[in-house]
Amino acid sequence: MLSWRQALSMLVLGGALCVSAGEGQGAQRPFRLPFDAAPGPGTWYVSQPYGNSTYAYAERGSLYRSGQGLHMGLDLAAPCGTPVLAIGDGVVISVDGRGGAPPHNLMIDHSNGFVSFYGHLLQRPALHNGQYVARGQEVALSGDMYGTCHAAPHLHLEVRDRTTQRLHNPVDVIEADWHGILLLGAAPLTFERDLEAPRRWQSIDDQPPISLGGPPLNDYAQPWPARP
Amino acid sequence: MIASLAIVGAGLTIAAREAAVNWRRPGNFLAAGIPTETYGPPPTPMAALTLKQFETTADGAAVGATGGRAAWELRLRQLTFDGCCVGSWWSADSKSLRFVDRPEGSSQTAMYALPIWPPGELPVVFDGALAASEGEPRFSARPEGDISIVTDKETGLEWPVGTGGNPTLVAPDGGALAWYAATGGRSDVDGFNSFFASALDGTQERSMGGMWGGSLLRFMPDSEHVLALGRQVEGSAVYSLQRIALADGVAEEIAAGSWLSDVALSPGASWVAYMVSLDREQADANGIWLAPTEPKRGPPRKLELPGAYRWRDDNRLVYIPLLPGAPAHAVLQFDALLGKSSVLLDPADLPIRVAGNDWSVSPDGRHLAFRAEEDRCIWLLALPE
Repeated sequence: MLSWRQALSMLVLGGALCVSAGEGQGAQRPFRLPFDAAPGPGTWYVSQPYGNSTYAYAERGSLYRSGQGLHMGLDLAAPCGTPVLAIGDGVVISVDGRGGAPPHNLMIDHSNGFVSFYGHLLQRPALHNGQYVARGQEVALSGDMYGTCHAAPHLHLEVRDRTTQRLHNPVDVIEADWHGILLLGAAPLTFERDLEAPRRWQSIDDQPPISLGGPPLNDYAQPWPARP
Repeated sequence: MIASLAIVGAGLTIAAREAAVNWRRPGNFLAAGIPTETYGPPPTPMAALTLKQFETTADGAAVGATGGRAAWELRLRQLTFDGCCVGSWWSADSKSLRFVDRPEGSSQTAMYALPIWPPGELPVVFDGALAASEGEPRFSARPEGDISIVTDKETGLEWPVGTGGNPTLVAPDGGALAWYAATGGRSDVDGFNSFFASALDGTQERSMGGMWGGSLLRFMPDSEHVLALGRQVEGSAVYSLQRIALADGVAEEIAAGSWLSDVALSPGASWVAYMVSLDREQADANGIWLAPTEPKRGPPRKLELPGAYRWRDDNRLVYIPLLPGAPAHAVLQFDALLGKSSVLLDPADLPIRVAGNDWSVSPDGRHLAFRAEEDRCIWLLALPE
């Protein structure tokens, strides 16, 4: 039987490792996670991956049309009001600017070629353009898309280039144990298949960059599973 | 009595090489015989485990794993190579895995079947048209415009039912339909969704109530009840999981909780597993729970650790705890009758890591198939009792 001591040791071990994973285990990925707490049902978890998700495919002609049919960011479910941390040192370049993800958003230029974008914030961030923020500094509070706190509360996190017109998979640049983080729930998060290339873009860490306003990348002639 | 069968490393090496060669050479992987090329094993530490001797029974079940890394290594076997494949699933008889793939160089995507026994079996095309309906029920329904089309697979007959074009469930016995319809608002968020049922031909339509943001998840195996999930109070974060009787629309609450999600019914329909999340006021409520589908059988019980879960049989849930940053993943089992967990795989004994929460337990409960993070191939783990 799993004793409470075993369970506790697993939790402690996991928690400690979470911190080290979140804080960066090396120099491969320049950014940290946008939350302080370890992932879990009570704190935060991935609710929709970046890229070629099955949901994005269903919304390719509407909600995600401007993102070439793909989900432009990483959705992290979190209770309304969860402090959002800057994923890296940087300078605020936009507060409630363009970029969508209402009701409030924030954009930070990290001076390393990347810009981070935080959407569905609970309230307007108390920051101003040109303000320096440090890695791990609280910069906002998470909210939900309708500002009600009862409409799937989550943080929408994007990573863009400095033109802000090209988006990258946050998983590629944020240091974390992503496959460990995904171990929650009754089924995996799924990606739409193109039967012409069924292995392509099927993992959270294998997704293409997006050019805003570009042609659809997932208008598949032979999707799997088939959808309208 | 099942005879033990020892398979030596040399034999497995050959089997592994065969699979690797053939799978990497489309057009050849359906051919029998040993290839002439010499290939090494896949260049991953985990793959090296296939080179070790392991003991197993003639039908593939592991025996004699009595602890320690060596014993555990005997229980692990690589099934696919070359990064193949995501989203595999089990055949109903637990004898093979299915997956959709187009191996490099092949011109056709197909559904493949890979027998798990004997070792070294190669994937074969199971359904080139990707239309296999193995295990699917006789009747199905698909939304089309403002109706649903019901199809009888046996006769080929189709007929429309006025469901409003909403997602429609068919009872396992083929005797009834059920669907939910948005009646205003943002249906997936805060609109009130009404539930309906009818006979298979659309007659005898009746209302079964509804919930805010509600949906029908599935029929119960008895074909007389459906599982429904939604909010009883508009704007609440608390979702209610209910069992609704088709005959009279009476609803019984099985469970409730903040953002209740990821509902999984046990194979015998005795239990539901589900996740409660994002509850800041009652932090202890967050986690993975099991509740009896007959509410009178007692209160829900909570897993010691949150994680990813799949049913092994009607009373045992296999789960991999969420421990991000851990160098390897543990496999635990929660016995709903005992209300306790036990360790199936201690990561200290055998360090595996699962990619993308892509894993499944065979219907007979004897094996766990997972996609390894390291090589993205499918591996097979024999589960101890």
